[in-house]
Amino acid sequence: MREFGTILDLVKRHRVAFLIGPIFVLLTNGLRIVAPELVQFAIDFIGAEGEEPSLAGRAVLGMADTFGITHESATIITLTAATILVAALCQGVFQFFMRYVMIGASRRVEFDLRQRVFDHLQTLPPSAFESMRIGDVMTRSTSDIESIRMCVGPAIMYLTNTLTILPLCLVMMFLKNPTLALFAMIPLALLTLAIRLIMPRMYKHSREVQEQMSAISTHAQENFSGVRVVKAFHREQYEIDGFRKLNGEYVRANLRLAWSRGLVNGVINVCAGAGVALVLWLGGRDIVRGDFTLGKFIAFNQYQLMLLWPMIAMGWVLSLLQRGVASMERINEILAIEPAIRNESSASSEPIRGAIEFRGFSFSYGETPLLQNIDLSIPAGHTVAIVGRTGSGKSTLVSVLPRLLEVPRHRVFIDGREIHDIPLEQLRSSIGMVPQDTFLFSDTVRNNIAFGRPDATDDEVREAARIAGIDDAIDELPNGYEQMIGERGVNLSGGQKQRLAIARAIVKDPAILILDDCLSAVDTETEERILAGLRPKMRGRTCVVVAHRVSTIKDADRIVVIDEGTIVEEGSHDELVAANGIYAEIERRQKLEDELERFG
Amino acid sequence: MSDAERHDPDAPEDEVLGKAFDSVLIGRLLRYVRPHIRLFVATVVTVVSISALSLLGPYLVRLAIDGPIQGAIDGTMSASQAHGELLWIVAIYAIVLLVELGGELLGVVLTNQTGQRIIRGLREQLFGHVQKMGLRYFDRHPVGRLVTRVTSDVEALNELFTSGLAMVFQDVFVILFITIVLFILDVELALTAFVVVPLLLVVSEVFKRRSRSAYRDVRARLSRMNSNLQEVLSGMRVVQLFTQERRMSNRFKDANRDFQRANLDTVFNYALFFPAVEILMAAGLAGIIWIGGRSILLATPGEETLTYGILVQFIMYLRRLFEPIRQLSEKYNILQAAMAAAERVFKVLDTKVEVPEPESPVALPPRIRGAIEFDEVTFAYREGEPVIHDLGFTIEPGERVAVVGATGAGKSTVLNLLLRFYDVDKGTVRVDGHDVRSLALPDLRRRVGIVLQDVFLFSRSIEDNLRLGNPDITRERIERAAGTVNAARFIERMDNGYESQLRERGANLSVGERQLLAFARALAWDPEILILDEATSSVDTETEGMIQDALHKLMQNRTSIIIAHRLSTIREVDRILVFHKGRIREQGTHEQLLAERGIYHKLVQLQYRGT
Ligand SMILES: Nc1ncnc2c1ncn2[C@@H]1O[C@H](COP(=O)(O)OP(=O)(O)OP(=O)(O)O)[C@@H](O)[C@H]1O
Ligand SMILES: Nc1ncnc2c1ncn2[C@@H]1O[C@H](COP(=O)(O)OP(=O)(O)OP(=O)(O)O)[C@@H](O)[C@H]1O
Ligand SMILES: [Mg+2]
Repeated sequence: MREFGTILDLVKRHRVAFLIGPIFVLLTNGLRIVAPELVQFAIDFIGAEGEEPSLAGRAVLGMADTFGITHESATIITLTAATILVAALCQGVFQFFMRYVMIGASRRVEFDLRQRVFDHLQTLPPSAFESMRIGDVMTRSTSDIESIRMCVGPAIMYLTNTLTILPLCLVMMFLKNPTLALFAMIPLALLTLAIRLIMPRMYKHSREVQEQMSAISTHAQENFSGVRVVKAFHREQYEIDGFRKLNGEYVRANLRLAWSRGLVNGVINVCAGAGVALVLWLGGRDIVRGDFTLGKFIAFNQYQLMLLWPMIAMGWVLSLLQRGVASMERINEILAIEPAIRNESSASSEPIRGAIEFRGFSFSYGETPLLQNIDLSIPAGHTVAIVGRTGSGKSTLVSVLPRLLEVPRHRVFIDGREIHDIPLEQLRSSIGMVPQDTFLFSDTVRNNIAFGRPDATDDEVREAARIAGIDDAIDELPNGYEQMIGERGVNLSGGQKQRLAIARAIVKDPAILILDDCLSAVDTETEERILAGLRPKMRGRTCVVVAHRVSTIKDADRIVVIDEGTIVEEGSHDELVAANGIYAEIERRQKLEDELERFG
Repeated sequence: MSDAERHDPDAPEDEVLGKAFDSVLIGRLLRYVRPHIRLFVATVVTVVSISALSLLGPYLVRLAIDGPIQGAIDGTMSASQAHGELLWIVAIYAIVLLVELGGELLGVVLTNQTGQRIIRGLREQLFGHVQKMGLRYFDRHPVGRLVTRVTSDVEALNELFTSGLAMVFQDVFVILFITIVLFILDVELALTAFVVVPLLLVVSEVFKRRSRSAYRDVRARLSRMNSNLQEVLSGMRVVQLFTQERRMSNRFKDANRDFQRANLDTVFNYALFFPAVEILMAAGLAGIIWIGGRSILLATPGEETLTYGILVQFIMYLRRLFEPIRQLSEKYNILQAAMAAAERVFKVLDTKVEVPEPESPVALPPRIRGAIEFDEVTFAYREGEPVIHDLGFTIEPGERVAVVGATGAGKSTVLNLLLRFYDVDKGTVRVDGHDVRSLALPDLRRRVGIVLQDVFLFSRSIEDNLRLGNPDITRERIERAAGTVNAARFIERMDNGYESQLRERGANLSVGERQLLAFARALAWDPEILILDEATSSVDTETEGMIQDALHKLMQNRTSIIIAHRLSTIREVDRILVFHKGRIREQGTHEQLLAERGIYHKLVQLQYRGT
């Protein structure tokens, strides 16, 4: 149960409900024992054996006195029946509040918990999501939160119900016949023992079922996302076979769970029945002996039946708790991930101008170092291009600036300030980044462009679209800026997606613009237009461009070539071409100039 | 249109209000039961017999009361005689209980067996069907929703088969049996107990009505909340880059709160329903005590029709009678969820595959020549807005052709049509003279190796990503392909080489590396037609140069189509097609096009201006 520590404060927030709820449970159950007592009284009264009437019986007789009703048997029976009904009505009212308060509270806790998980997820760095599959996170925040709610709500309700009704019934039974009550308890004790033995198995199996479901969901998710590849390589059958295998595992896990569940159900029913049989035998013997009355026997029976559901519920509650613990563990796993990248400064500081400096910066994802001892300083307002081999660490280097990656201290500076000393939000909102792999939301074109600044005016959105060279394409869409974009932009061409992402960064009006290879899917003419449009817009702003195409970067103030983890060349296009190094080689390979001259 | 609706283009699909009982749907569901009918019948028989057995208890109690106990009280039976008889009855009870234990276990296992078997088939059918759908289907249906179909919706049906269907038989049996027994025992008392039944029906009807709309709300809001969550999770990097965490959090909070509100309505309904049923049950009990008690009291000795035993049996049965009714709400929800799920699942299964396999496909020879022909092809993704207009061109076997043009000109679309991801609206696409619609899809796609513009990698090992489960592709072939595109260098540097696990969509690789893997994948399959859609757009120039040198050999005598914006990469092709707004505007060799001084000339000029 320690697992639930993480949600203790959420429960406390609704402590009133969690305190009042059990009171209603108690009231409900207190009234519940009225009926058996009255039934006992009625039966024994009919028998008129001159028995000493029970407490409830004396109450009815007393009531008859106050109303001035005779003690004639028929009217007393009527009065008894009426009392049963009234008690039930009161009980119903309390029961309503019991459910409404307790289950309602669980829904509130669920709300808070889900929001907490969501907010926590949003603080995690992208790297956290790489090791955790989205399908898995989805399962956790839906079915796991639901099973936690079941613990906090129904489980607690039924547990308190059982825990109050059980002693009440036991006391009433003890008052009637202690030995019989003792015997009636034996099956209950056995039941608890049996359940204690079976539950760990059930816990294991239910976790297996949940994990298997997660696997199925992940497989389907990935398969549907990669449907183009599956189809292009006609791997449908292979994928179906894979799915079938997982499905089979899932079925087997479910059947294993069914065995323990069946066992639990059977044991509960048998123990309950055994209690009835024992009382029938021993109680019957006592009646025969004259030590017990029929009315008491029937009341006993009623109590046992009354305990039946709470005992069954107990089994259910136990499995809910087991499942809840498993789910809580899984949620805790998420909540335990430290947001490695935190805002560490609250000092509101002057606006960022955009000078960037790396001082002896090194970085590695695993053991092998990727970037080593990078020294790079970009004055505010300059445009710097970064080129280098595939996988040389260009994207890694630029991801450091908006702190998408955690970096050691005193290595990266913006405007001369250590990057950790800048409030995270200020830092990120001053940087407009177009990541290398484009992600668009399934929202309208307009909302996608204005994603970083929902309050942007239509003119600003249009202007950004114009600079990104996507305005004509948008105007051609049937609904223009209100056109819905499909998931991840499925209904756009590769270049259109990239240009929307560029427009999205421009609307932010950032001090630092980072373009990570974001013109790769754009033709040269459009590229030229975009670059020309950006130039006035970026005047006075810092611009970091990662690209492979010489045409994209040749006008940069400075070009930096990264190779084998270090900066190997640095300078303007002309300088580097003259230096005859790596960059010159790139330039030579891309050149079509000779032909142009020939045909120009 | 409200804001929320706009976020959810075809939301109604998730909001179909399932009738709790739809005979057409039930009929269709039962068809899935048919193959397992033996098991199903066995299950129902077991479950019903167990509940019949469990109804024996109250009867045995009555026998004991009216027999030995009453006998001893009345003095018609000696104490030892009564003891003996009592012992017998209790012994029988014990045996019944033991049988019940085994039966209960068997019942649960059987219901699960049946349910799981039925569901397993359905889930596989569903997955297989979605897998066969044309791409247009995937354009329109978010992945998250399709996943819901094969998971939660199928689970709802599973619930129906495992705890629903068999239980319905059990409940109907229990209700019928008890009703009959009660009426046989004592008509007057039975009528008293049943006075509350009409009231009960009213209560459950009201409850049903209320929970019907509440249920729809819950479902709709849940699905909206989940698609919201799913999208934020996939786009988390963008959310954080644009510091929109707070806005996303508020947006999610709205969805979360809507969901909570809908749930609280449901809680209210239940909180009302359960006590109402209990009150009615107490009314029944009070009635029995009243009528029964008076009947025993006022009967002239010797003529009693009612005994204590029967009274007790009545009281005990009354409980058993109300139990299924009390659980009605739960069953009703299972049923309703299942019907809504069935409707959605069947809707998927009923969706015709837009790109159907031909009835009698033309068999292609083991090796094709690789001639491609577009004959007056017109195609639109959205009706009325064609992106390809009367497009006609032919590619000779073994010819290397490049396609260039502005973004959005329709280059990738041509490939989509060639691979038959979509079917043309007008005209014909031919491979080796055969209409692609007359070829079996795997037969067609087997010939074509493609590097798609949007790279997709599975979260499996690198080797699995290249092989994709094709046993013909040996490790050697994989290594050769990786070597050709210069991917071997980074693969071998990774901790586990070819066994290294990729994360979702290859997130632990650089974008260029991902592209190289996709390239290697196409090559490993050794296709007869090679198609490269921006296959090296994110790859550095040096690597690209190396790939080109290697490709030079590979493309010899292999029909190839190359789409590229970096014009230096297409210098070596036989012919260049220049696309503009879904039409071919220029074509010829590099030199011819330069001489023509048209679009191509301009593109080249722009790329190398001033260098
Ligand atoms: N699935 C789709 N649904 C609707 N429209 C689409 C879809 N895919 C592409 N389009 C539209 O069709 C047009 C042609 O797209 P296509 O992907 O063929 O362009 P492209 O020439 O390959 O461009 P790029 O160079 O940017 O990749 C574009 O305007 C695009 O918006
Ligand atoms: N999340 C990650 N976990 C582990 N390794 C990573 C991760 N992201 C990138 N890498 C590795 O780090 C190296 C550098 O990646 P990066 O994306 O910075 O390269 P890049 O220079 O931008 O390449 P490209 O030109 O292909 O975009 C690559 O070898 C890549 O495999
Ligand atoms: Mg990169």
